[in-house]
Amino acid sequence: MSIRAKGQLVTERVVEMMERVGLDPRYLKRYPHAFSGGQRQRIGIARALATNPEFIVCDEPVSALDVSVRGQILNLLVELQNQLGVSYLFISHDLSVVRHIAHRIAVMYVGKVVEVTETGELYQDPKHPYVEALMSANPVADPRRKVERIILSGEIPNPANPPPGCSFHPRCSYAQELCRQQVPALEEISPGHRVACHFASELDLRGAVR
Amino acid sequence: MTDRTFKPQPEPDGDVILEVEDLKVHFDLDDGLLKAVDGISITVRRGRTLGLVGESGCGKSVTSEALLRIVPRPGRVSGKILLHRRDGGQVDLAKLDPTGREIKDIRDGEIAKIFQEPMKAFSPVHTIGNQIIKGILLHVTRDKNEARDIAAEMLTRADVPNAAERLSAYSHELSGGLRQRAMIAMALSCHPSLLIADEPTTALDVTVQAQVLQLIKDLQGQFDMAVIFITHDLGVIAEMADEVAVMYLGRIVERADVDTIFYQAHHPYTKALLASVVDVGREARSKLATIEGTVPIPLNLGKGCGFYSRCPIAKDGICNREDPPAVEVGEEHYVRCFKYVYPDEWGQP
Ligand SMILES: Nc1ncnc2c1ncn2[C@@H]1O[C@H](COP(=O)(O)OP(=O)(O)OP(=O)(O)O)[C@@H](O)[C@H]1O
Ligand code: SF4
Ligand SMILES: [Mg+2]
Repeated sequence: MSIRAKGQLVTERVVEMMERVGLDPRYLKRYPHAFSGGQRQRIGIARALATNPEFIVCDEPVSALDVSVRGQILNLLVELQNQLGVSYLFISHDLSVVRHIAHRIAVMYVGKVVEVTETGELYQDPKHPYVEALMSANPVADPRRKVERIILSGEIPNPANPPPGCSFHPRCSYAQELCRQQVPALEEISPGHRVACHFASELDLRGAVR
Repeated sequence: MTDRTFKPQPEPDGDVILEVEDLKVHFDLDDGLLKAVDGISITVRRGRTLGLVGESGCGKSVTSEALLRIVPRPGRVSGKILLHRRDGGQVDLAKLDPTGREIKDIRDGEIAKIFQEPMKAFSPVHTIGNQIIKGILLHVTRDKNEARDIAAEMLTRADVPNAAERLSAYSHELSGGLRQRAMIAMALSCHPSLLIADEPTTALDVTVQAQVLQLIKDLQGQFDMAVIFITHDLGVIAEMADEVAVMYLGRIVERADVDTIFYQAHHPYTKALLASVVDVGREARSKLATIEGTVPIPLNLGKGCGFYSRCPIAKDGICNREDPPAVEVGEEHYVRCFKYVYPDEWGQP
């Protein structure tokens, strides 16, 4: 194939990708700084898709975006997954966003996974005290929903120098002597639901949705 | 125009701390006139929180800079910023010399500000204690020992552990959450009557955010302060605000009490914002409502509604000709949209 024919193919593929992520292909010759935040995010997604990957890592893909544009990108990611069957590792600190997009969620605290399960189960029936606190701290856009917040005391520890035992014990209201001494293992408490807490199966914790 | 157009605001009662009327901040730039803030009016009352919400670039931070008269060059501030002072007097901050004594006296004394990035509030070369004490010596007392005691007490109130020792710490030695609390302690050490909080928790982890929000509420109660809380997060607004002003492109497009904003929003932009919230109450992976396009830059804007280019119900010949006036659609509920000026045009007589 001649170089020109190859170039032609590449251009066709790029145009296809741009259309797929909802960008006007007339923008093909523009530089990234001339795009808005949402448009740049779409370019990033188009570039990630261009090689037909099976798996894409999305690291905080919407955290810098305004709400009105964030919806566009989340819709696009869901749509592309439904069409192309790609898998995502979606990294985010926004509990509402991960619930929207993820099928399965792993919650990390100070460098370790503390709980991993299906999305619905995590929000209804969290088993790790840190996850319970996260759910309760997540602000909800509804002034009539006055929930009683769990306000954790203390700071997130420095991962270079984590506390002994369970890293969460200095902030955990359920901590016992055992938690100060032994690191809890990530154990399966029901099929597909794993938790790293000594008292995971004894505690009765509150979820975000009833 | 019908008789439903702009009505003057009700007489301010004794509780009012700040009345802002037709505030504008314009920047004369090489490539034209940038109207960062273009005629906003707000009232803030003692013990109450006004939430200022809007997307990136809508003018929230410039508004807060204008209230403190710290807008950088070549920004021009006009309009009225009436502060009801502690001694019972009133002063129009918009008329003050931004480098003069009076505004310096008010800044950090009667109006304090906390920032998104606490690094901005502290100097890296002085201890936290010295910086807090300096403000107290300027505004509260001349006695150095007393000032030190007040500083330690404020840190304690802001839940900073080992407060007396922390006075000799430098800001970079503290964790993000602690630094945020030290900044709040500093801002409140002179018992301001108005606190401006510009995205104070946006950079924090949710559990730390919950701590800081609770702290602001507690201290507001203790000091009976008015608060202007700036954020783009509707969840945080629902939690913190008593009244809400929704900003778009330098204007307040809708203003009402928090319940009305969330349950009876009138402006197409407010409605669209609320519809696009990703919330735990919504069905996962369902299609989210979106607003087409992005927020324009307020440079060389023509006449007409700022939301015209993205509004799903815009009408040619009405919305793009004049600026929509503020219409009172309910008690203390104002909307800037022609649909409420000419309801018949939208088929709603
Ligand atoms: N010093 C300045 N000179 C010129 N333009 C400015 C200046 N400061 C802000 N602007 C412009 O004024 C507009 C409003 O900016 P502002 O910082 O108030 O936005 P914001 O609502 O605080 O946004 P964000 O949520 O991103 O903080 C923007 O278009 C911005 O580019
Ligand atoms: S004035 Fe017109 S363009 Fe502006 S919000 Fe109302 S309907 Fe939409
Ligand atoms: Mg800002």
